[in-house]
Amino acid sequence: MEQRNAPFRGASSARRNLNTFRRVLRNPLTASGLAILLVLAVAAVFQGSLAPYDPLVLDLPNRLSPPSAAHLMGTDNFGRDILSRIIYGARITLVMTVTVVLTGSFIGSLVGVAAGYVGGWFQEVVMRITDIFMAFPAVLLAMVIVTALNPGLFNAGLTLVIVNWPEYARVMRGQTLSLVQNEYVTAARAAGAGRWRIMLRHIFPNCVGPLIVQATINLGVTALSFAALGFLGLGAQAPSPEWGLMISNGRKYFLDAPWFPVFPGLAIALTVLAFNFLGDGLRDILDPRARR
Amino acid sequence: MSFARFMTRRILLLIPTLLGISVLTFFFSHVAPGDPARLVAGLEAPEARVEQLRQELGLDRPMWVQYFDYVSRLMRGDLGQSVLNRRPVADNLKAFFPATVELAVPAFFLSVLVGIPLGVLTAVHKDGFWDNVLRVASLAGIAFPSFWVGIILLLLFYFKLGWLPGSGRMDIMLMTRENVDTVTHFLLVDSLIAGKWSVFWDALRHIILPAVTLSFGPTARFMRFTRTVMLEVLGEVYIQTARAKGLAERAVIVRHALRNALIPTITLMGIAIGYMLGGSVLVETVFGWPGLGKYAFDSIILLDYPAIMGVTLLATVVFLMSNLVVDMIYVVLDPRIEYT
Repeated sequence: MEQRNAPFRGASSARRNLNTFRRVLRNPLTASGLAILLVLAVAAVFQGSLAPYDPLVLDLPNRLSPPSAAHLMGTDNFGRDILSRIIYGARITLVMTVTVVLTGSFIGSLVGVAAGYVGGWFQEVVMRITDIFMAFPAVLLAMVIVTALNPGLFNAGLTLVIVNWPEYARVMRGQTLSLVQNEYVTAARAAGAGRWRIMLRHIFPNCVGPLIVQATINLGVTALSFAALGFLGLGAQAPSPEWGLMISNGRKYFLDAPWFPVFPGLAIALTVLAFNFLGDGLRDILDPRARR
Repeated sequence: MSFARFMTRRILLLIPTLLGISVLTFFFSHVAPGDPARLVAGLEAPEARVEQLRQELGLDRPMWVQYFDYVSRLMRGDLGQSVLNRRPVADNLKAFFPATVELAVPAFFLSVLVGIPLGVLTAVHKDGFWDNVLRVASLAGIAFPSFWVGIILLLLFYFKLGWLPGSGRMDIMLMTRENVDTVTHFLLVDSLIAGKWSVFWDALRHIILPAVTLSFGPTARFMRFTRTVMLEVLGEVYIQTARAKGLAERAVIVRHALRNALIPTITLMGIAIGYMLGGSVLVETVFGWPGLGKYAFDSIILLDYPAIMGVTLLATVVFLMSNLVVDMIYVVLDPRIEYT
């Protein structure tokens, strides 16, 4: 039965995916979010050929020069071209944000689905642990953890995974609890499917909608937290062109060179905005409760 | 389950959570880099002195002994001594926390009083001009980093226009001239008690920029959330009934729709308080505001563990309590709620 069902399910989900994709493109906000992200992704991939200057090479005679034809966004306190640094920073932000969200949602969904399916004391323990994590104001918890691990780009990412997984675990547990009631789970169990098979093949695929919505909405929040850690000196370290760190440096010069902190901030905002446009649109499409 | 039983269970569940929080803060401060004994002794101190201090501070004992010691001291309200200024952490928190509250309370009310009405406005005029403008504005409000917004506001209103002061709670010149007795640690209240209007006015002016910065994100969230809930409520049958009865549109929206829409919004208020506690780190750093957030940041930079643990614990307890209050209000306001 399993085998006969498989191709059919595959075909219908492919059609559904195509439909979803069409609807994403029809919504102007979602489409513009996607477009912005596409531009950022291109910048991140082809940074070497797109950036007019090397983001790390110092040019002290040209320090803090205002935006001009030579330097479209001006230069920083070491004479480095801000546009080039922003282009190089795009890769850091995009790669870190997406990796953090993927890892966090993966760990969180495994734990959440397992908690909801296994139930009993395991569920109780897992839920208390998520309670503990979610009792902390996120920025504060992230600061404490990243300090314990030693500030740095990788550890900032790791920290945000530690801070974020409980949220996914909660969502996925809730989904699992409602899905377990379904007849196809009972049928699969009667057919002799094991725990893992039921969780991974039957429950997990059916939670994907809410998971994607949650993850997309979290992309923006994660990008902001990541920049905040950089701003506090707990994320990427100098001379990295990470955007939060650039704002932190630019802050000291903002009277003489307002462009220095302003442009990296706009870059962050644009990225988060694009993530949020996408998240909003996907929620409208994938979450039937929000559909109107 | 009755209301009393629901609340009892809800409060009892806080105990394992609080224990877990103490384990987590203890764990993270003890795997952290740096040698606390060396920090207390100073970088120049001889190794023998550091070793002696390590024994005095009990840092040579097994981890679990240290943890139980930590918890038993916590029970007595002893949070240890801050490495930063050699004062008890509890005293430091007492001094810094009111400054954060004095900042967060206006920010909170600002975001509620701006966010909710705008949310109603956008819902009522769905897809209209203001709806589109304000929706994009609210998305932007969420997208801009608070620390960046703070910098821009400083640049504009302090440096360029000179309308508002840039940092701290009070003008330094004024602080040396006018001595205000500390009664509540809230400068606005203390200056009123002392009857010093110049101080009150100055303190108020100092609060504006950081409070507006802190309220930026939450305002946008309140607006978006209220819009969604209002749209849901406006589609309900009882709204049609109210309209059919011939009630004025204003009454329908305010008395029938908004009142019901406010209930779920209360949950967001709990979340907003948590956001402001975390966000205060960033905003206080930008504005040199001597509150809990800046204290947290300073102690993290100095690896002042007792202070880090104290701040984290306090912020978490405040967050938990505000969520508890939110839950209580929620249950009282919404008779349909099921106690589970």
